[in-house]
Amino acid sequence: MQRIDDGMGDRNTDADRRIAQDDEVERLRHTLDEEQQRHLRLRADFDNARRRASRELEAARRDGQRGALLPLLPVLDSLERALAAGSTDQDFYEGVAATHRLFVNALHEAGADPIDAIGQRFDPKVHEAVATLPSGSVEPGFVVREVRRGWRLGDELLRASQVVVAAPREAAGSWR
Amino acid sequence: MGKLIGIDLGTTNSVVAVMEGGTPVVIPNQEGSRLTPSVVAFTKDGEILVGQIAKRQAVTNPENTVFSIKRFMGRRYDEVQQEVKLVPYRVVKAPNGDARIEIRGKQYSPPEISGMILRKLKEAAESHLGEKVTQAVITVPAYFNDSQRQATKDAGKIAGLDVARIINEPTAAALAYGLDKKTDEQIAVYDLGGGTFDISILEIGQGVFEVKATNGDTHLGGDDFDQRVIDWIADEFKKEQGVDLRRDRMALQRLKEAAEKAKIELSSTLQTEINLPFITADQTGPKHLVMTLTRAKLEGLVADLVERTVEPCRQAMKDAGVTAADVDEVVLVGGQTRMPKAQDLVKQLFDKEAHKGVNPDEVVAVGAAIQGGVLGGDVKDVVLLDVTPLSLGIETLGGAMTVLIPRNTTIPTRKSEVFSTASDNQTAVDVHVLQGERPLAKDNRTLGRFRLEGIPSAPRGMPQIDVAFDIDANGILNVSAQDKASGKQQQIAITASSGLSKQEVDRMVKEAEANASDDARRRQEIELRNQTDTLVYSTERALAEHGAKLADAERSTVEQALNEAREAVKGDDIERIRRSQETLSRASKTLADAVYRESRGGGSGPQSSGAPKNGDVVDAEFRNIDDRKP
Repeated sequence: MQRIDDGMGDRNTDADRRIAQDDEVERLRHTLDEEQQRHLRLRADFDNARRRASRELEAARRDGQRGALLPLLPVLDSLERALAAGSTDQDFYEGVAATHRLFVNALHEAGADPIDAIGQRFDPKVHEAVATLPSGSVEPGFVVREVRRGWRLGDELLRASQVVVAAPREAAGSWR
Repeated sequence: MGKLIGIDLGTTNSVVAVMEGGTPVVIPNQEGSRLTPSVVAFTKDGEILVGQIAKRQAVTNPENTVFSIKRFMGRRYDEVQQEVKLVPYRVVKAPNGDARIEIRGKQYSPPEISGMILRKLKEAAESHLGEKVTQAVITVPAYFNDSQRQATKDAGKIAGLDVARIINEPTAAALAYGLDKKTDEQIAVYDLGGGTFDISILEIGQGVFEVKATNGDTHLGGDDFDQRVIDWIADEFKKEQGVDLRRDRMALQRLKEAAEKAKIELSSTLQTEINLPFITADQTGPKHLVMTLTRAKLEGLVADLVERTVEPCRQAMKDAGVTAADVDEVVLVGGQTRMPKAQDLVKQLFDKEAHKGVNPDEVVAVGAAIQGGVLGGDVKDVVLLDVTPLSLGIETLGGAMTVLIPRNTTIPTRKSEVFSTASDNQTAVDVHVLQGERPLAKDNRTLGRFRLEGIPSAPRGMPQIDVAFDIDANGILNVSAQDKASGKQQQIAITASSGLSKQEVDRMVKEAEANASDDARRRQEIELRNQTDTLVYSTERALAEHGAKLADAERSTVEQALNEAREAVKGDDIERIRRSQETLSRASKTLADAVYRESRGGGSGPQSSGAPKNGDVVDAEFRNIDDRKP
């Protein structure tokens, strides 16, 4: 009994040591797991932050461009209205028309291009309807008339076109 | 846990914001805009458009384009007759009495439509954060009742959002300015938005916000200001050129934009040029519109609009039981509060500068995001509590309303009371849940009713029925009744099936106040009497001291006025007292003038100009005493 007990005691200390080692290994493994998880998370966070930062940088650049270009568009609108009104002075008219071309080219170089509207199917993503008009020749839902030209900046909308949309005969209304 | 976003679900525009690294950030939508129009459109092809895109196609599709849906949230069809007339889409009555929107033969509930707006904002937040968003704090006007709040929660649910908390818009605005750090202060939140005006008086105590009173005008906002400018420009142009631009839809479009631009510019400059070349043309050729609009002129054009906000402010202060001097902080909300004239008015009304710095279009969403941060654990130390707008109770013997939770009780709250049967051997009781301020059940609004059966037969008054009202942090009411003897229990959750219009709330409160107005009149009479009395006293003293400095005629005028006032105060004729007080205060002024004349001539000290000042001091004391009353 006694010996066996002693033997057991030896084995116990052995076992104790092994258990303690196992515990330590388990603890370290757990810590490692945790740290790896944290590391992964941090890397993911960093990755997300970097991606977002580059996206935000791009957005900020676009915002800056928009801010610079948008106020110029009404000036162009007026120039176009002047051309539409015409002039009896042919030379003066030519000069204004040439100025207008310069303006449009300058916008193009800055990355802005006009949006097609007339004859297109009305698309609220780029067109803003200001009125509807029953039309015999144009299919309902298509743009009859462009009131103000729309512009895009790259593949983003800079300013929606303002358009009149062909309506079926009954309804020609205005909202607001 | 994912991020909690904050959403200002507005009548005209909505905004979403989130806490990032301890700072609230407004999230732009997919189109790059920080404001998303609260507009939903249903196209012929079955597509659902939300926001700016929906707004752009509204003209082509008016009956299927829904805006101002907030005005229908949690409302019954019968309550919104006025609103129905103002919208081009079809509003119908649902079988349960709620207002529904009918689009191409299909009915949508207002929470469904709002849900579409919320979904778009949620998606914008997800694409901004790069992670899924499942929880949100959504704001509502302080006057929203249970069903309107519940409808807003439902809208969140429909959008796939777990609504962690519904908070009041003014509370959110106060939070955006960090006012939760204050203790025992009164806060006025002046919200002049695109189409609605709201004034709220809040009290902050130990990090808890309480809404003490709200008032406003559901149809007053920046759009009305724009219209005044449009009309002015059009009228001027008509005078000069004989053409009414309002009849030319293309010209009107430009005019609208120019008017809004001019209005905005005049918030920072004193005058602006409205320049619209080639605005129209007639046989004589093209016509140009070039005008100058000054800030002063603009202020003249909208003076009555600004003025319309005064009375609601006064009323709100009165309801909250505070004076301008008690208000410690003023917060401005809504784009129209950028107008200096509006800011001046607010300063004049509350006698202090308003908080500035947070964009007034975004301040509510920013506050909601901060609250989201609190709930998500990002921000600490803020508890938000709101109050019930109307009293809640049950019908008791004789058709009386017995209030369990009085109006303006801070929620969440729980209150229970023991009731009994009204007749012998009564085995069932009807629990009729009511909301309102009137003493009789029939004059108040029914929120719901249920029946508790199985009460053991007993003489009347014997059974004990415990009725408990429980309002959670979102203002949703649970009512339960339990018979103590049998343990039988029955309960009801009051949710979105019905709601009160603001007008109804106003009416109910007013009706209840009508009785109180007699008291108010009596109090006014007492005050007038006291003031007159004080004036008589101070004038007598001044006359005794300085009477010699007056000419005989002047002296007898003052004496006559004194006698009349003394007599008037003894009587009951309030008008006579008022008149005599006015006459006396004019007369005492001639006395003061004479004294002043004398003292300047004689070079004596300033103490001799005392008479009218005395009156003022006493007056101030009156006010102070009033103020100290709880």
